[in-house]
Amino acid sequence: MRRLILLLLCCCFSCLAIAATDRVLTLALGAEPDAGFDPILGWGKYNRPLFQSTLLRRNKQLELVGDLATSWTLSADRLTWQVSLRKGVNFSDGTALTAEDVKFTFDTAKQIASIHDLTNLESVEVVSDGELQFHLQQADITFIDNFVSLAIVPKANYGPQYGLAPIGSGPLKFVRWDRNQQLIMVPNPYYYGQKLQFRKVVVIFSDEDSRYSRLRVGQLDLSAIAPRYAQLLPPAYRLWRIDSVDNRGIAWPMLPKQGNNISNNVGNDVSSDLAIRSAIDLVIDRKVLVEQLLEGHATPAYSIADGLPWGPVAQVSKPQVDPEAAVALLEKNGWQLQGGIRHRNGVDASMTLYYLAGDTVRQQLALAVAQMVKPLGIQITPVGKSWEAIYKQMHQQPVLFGFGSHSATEVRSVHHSQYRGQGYFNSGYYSNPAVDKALNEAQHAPSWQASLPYWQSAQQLIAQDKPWTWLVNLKHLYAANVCLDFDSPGIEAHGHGWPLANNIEYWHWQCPN
Amino acid sequence: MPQLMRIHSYAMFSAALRLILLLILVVLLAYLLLSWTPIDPLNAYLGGNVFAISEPQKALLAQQLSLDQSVGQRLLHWLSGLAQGDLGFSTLYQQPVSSVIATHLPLSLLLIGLSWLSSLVLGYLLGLVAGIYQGSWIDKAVQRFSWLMVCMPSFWLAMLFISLFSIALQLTPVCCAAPIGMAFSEQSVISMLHHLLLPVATLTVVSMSPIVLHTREKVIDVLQSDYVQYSLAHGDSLFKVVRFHVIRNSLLPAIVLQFATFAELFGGSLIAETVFSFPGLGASIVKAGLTSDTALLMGCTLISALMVFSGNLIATALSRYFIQEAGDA
Repeated sequence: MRRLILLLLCCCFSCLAIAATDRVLTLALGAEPDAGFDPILGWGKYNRPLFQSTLLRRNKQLELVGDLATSWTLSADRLTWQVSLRKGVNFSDGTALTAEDVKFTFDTAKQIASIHDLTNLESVEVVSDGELQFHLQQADITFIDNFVSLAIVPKANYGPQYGLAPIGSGPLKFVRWDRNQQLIMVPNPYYYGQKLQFRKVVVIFSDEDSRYSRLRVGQLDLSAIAPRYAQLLPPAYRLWRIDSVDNRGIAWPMLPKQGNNISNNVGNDVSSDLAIRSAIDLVIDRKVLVEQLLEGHATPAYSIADGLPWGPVAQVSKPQVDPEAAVALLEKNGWQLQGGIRHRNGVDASMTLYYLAGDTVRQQLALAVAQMVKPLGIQITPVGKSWEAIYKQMHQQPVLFGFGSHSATEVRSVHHSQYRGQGYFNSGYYSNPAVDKALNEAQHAPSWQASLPYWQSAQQLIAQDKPWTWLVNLKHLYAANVCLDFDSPGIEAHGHGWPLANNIEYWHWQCPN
Repeated sequence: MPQLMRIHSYAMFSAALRLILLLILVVLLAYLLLSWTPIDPLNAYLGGNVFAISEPQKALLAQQLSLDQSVGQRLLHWLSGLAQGDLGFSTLYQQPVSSVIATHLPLSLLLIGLSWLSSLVLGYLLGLVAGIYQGSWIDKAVQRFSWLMVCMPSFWLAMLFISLFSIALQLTPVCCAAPIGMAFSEQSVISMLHHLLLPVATLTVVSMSPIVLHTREKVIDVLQSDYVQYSLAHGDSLFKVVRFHVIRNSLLPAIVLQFATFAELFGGSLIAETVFSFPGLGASIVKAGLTSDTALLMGCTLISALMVFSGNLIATALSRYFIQEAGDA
């Protein structure tokens, strides 16, 4: 009798399983990659490439785990990575993936000016069928990020039009891409990992409003949505709020205007004073920003890498809201209140805060910050401009930026004095030899694990200097059919949409069909 | 007959000359405007990920996208390619511009063609009825409707249609040219028409006002003419008068007018395509503009200039031909 019940149960489960695999999943994840699905041109750098696979991956805890690579070791001089490949991996057309394909991918990405920065790669050497060596020009542990972000393409089938119909070794196989409309995929029969639990996946491309109309008529199983739609979901959908390091913060010009010896367009006499930055930090109520401004679709931010393994240790870096202490600090440092605005040596405590025009979240944050610092006698005027216009002002006025990456390199690019005034990275000309030293030590660490304490100590130092005031980490919002379960998605980087599909092979349909 | 031939070849020559002049002006102006745009093409190429790459890499990228050259150099380069029939390479789509256009133009043409035809037929009929029953409630209703539609932006009407017919009543698809998972050509004709219904209806309604009002005036003119009065005085029925005089004298001007308003229809279709997520050329033009993809935008500009020009040319040819025929007769 017990056996019979067991048998019946098995039947039921297998029926469910069959029903699940027979389902077509319709998703609207975000913007269409205009250049196609070519990893060398940037596809898959910020999300899982789906069609292709990478040498390494980051798991939910953002630890490095092997994907195509089974082992990866750095030589004693830290200039050579030795990588062994998984055996028996095939591309979706059935041909084998070899070390030659990996070499070809890295060589091509280095050659073509793309969004992969491989300037530090000296050469790639195929040692045997399943083994490669990557020779670097300088020791740099963050080179390992390229193993995560650059997916492998087949040498035999790669060409200028590859991105329009990619072949790869990822969990999904390309079927068709109707530009501006949809992308159709099926499970890759040759995939070596967990099999996808759906028969077909269709990704829809359309704008926010059109996606919402499609949700209203029940055409989509999942859609990335803007916060303004979060309260208005049809009953068949459930709201998923995924944590992210997609942060927003203010970069302060760190040099004084007078006597900075660099240029007239650099420096700000107000924000260059640590007392001003500390006082502002003390009156910004991140709880209010999160709960009232963003309706809870965010978390307070205290650094560029909150919650990441290389982020700062929590207790030290969380300042409490304390307006009285802020006023005392300003008074002590000679900022006198006069007619509602503070002055010191003939300088008004007044600044312009630039933010990206048209981005409502940034606009709201900028306005809220201006209101919060007003009682201190600090005048902040928010101004919305295009990136091109902000670029010209960002070394002498504060800017509301968004960062957040799964790569620790970002911590370096934003805070190391080497990047002062280079692009948008260290726009405030922040420079602290102790921070530089810690960041260099992190970069030259013998292994990824060994580099983590250095990143952390660098960030503790940064938190004391306050070159940035971090405000919030946005939560990424998704409307999904109540039957669809994402298993447990990890913390997302800057960029809303595609990263949700990083664990697509573990998604399942909970309802009987 | 030789006289007619001479006129035709002269007309052809002058048309070709005007086309060349027009294209040169369009190209120069478009290039000039593009060089003035504050959008940084490199920034757009990186998809907003300006933070993603180092400065040396950025310089290299600018060089490969030939953004380090002057506007003049780039224009010359583009023109020399064009002379060899090469429309250039779209950095946005990583595809030759000609193949982007070849994929998207047919759907746009279908949409514009259908809307053109239906606004001609519907607009003419409404104008005819309004003209015949001048002063009646039908006439007033048609006129008010036309005036209203003239002031109505197509994107607004499109959104109204979507919220009414697609979301509230669920009669029509909310967007796109085909059901999810299908290409346009894979679906049945019924489904095709179903998906075309709202975009075509929007464009038709928005673009037919000039033809309604114009036809109405023309019909009233004809009805007041001496020959119609003469015919009516001899006891011919209104139906006969309309059939023999009114339609004959008002249909051709309507068609000519319809060709001449081709440009507006093209502009309207860009907006309607964007609202309905219709995968025609519209979305490509908008994207090319927003990302400063020069080659693609220039290609699309050329195509649209050609389309507008042919519309006007046909209108001119038709009116010339009929004026001449009237002269011969």
